Amino acid sequence: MTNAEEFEAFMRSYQDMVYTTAVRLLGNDADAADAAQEVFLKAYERFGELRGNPRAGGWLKVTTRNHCLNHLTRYRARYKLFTDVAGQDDDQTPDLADRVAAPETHDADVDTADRRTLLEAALHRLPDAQRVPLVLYHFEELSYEEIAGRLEVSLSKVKTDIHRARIALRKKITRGRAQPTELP
Amino acid sequence: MNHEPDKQLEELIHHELRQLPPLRAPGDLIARVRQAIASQGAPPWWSQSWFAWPRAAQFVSALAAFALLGGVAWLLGGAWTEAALPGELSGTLAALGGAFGALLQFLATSAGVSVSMLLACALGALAGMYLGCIGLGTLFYRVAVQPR
Repeated sequence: MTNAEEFEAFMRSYQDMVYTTAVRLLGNDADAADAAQEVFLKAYERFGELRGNPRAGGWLKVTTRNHCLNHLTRYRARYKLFTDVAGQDDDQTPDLADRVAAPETHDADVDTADRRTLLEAALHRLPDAQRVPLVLYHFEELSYEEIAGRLEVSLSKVKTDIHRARIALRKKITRGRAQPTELP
Repeated sequence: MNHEPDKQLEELIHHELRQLPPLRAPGDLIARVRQAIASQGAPPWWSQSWFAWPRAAQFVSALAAFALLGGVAWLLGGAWTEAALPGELSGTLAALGGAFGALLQFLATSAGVSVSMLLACALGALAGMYLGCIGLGTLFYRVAVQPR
């Protein structure tokens, strides 16, 4: 197998993971595809070390996360705008569940796959200021303190934003269930 | 203050999010990366690490470096003789060597140290200035150039 073929196989193994990490952090398909491309270009430069290395997946995940956070930091002004405007009340923007036809009757038939699709869509629709810390906490397993340090915001803001994001997502989850559950 | 509801909410969201399957990468991602790699191409050998240079270039550059260092050592050591060089050149080198030696001796005497100590200090200062340039360059890049 040539080097190019090996690298292609390497990309096939990890492309979904890299893309998923990027799209959940960036909330945008096109930006996530660009980020994934940049990450694999970096991986190509270090393919000698990554080839057959069991830590390659971890390296790709951390590199993707850092690349996406740098991308978001580069547009800090936009990030702050989201924080100040859209982040105040996520209920003002219609969600995917609201846009499907006859949601009340349809909700009962939503199966697990559909519910996950709705949840994924709802996650992407969260404002940057809520989605990014939420993803870092639940998917990237960073602590509140680490997130505050990485995003250069206060600890209380991180906790508030994540809490708001959870409340917004809970609504989607309860709507997606056949039997809405009593939740806190 | 009761944090139990918050904890339950956190656990619920964590459970639901972690059940989400990975998304499928765009079908053209691999082709895009392949194209980007091809368009980048390999940089010319002389702009790569010395270890990546062709063998002949490594040999010639190493030889040139040794010749240069040896020549400098030979000149500073005063091992050359007037007979070994053409008259005009040897006279010039002798004048340069003499002036350099006198300058070193003057500086060493003024500072109250030996010539070898003075040379060591000068080398240290050069290294410090070099590192200072790197530090200032990095600072300039981080402050003024790097996108935020």
